[in-house]
Amino acid sequence: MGLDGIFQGTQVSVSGLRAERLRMEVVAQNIANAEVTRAGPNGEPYRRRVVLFSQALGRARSASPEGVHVDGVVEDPTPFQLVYRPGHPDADEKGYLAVPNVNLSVEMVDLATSARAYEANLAAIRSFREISEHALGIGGRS
Amino acid sequence: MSGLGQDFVTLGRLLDVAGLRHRTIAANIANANTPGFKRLEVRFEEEFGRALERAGSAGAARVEPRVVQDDTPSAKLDGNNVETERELVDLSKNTLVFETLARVAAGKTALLRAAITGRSA
Repeated sequence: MGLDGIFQGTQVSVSGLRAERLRMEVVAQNIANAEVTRAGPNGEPYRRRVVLFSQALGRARSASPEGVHVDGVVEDPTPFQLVYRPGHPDADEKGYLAVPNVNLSVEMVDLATSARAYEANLAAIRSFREISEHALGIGGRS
Repeated sequence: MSGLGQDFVTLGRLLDVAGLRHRTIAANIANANTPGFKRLEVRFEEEFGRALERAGSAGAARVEPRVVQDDTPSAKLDGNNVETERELVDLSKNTLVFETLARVAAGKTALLRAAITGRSA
């Protein structure tokens, strides 16, 4: 494996960092758009987005330690909530307004989970650095 | 002298396995939020130890590390059985193992250098 393998190992953690950061960005987008009633071409309210993760697969071996793969960002199909707000310009004829299917508490939980996972990946990168330094010490004059 | 060479081979393999384990733990941490992901584990030392007792270092040289899936049922709804805390503990443990092996290897290098040059350190 050697040092090269250790650097590949940091790539595993980097994939985790990138995935978690993307998730935090999507959460931020959901929170920012939590009250948007006109999004997209059909004038629908904003639909909450979620990030799909899957295990990155290695070359041949089935159980090979690879990182995480982001499959994409998809829309959450949960129906919009209807609130009675007759004064709103986007309300229907009965006075009901469809609001985005964003639940702030869900987003905050996702945000906290992502932030912790990001930190864990950072800790893994730090320890890769640590073991690389130990490996470099083998040939040195100690 | 050949003993020292064999020691280096063994140490190198153990360092390789420690590196692979580090990477495996990193992959578990990276996939902590991947639905359905099952944590991976490196199996090596038990088999290596048995082979070492049975057939000596030549026999043990043929033992390859295996990355296996841990199918322990998950407490989470999404089927993911990674516990980040546990992985972080394993990570620091493995860092220590790697450091120990690296220090032993460094000590042996110093010994070899002393033998070549005739001077101690």
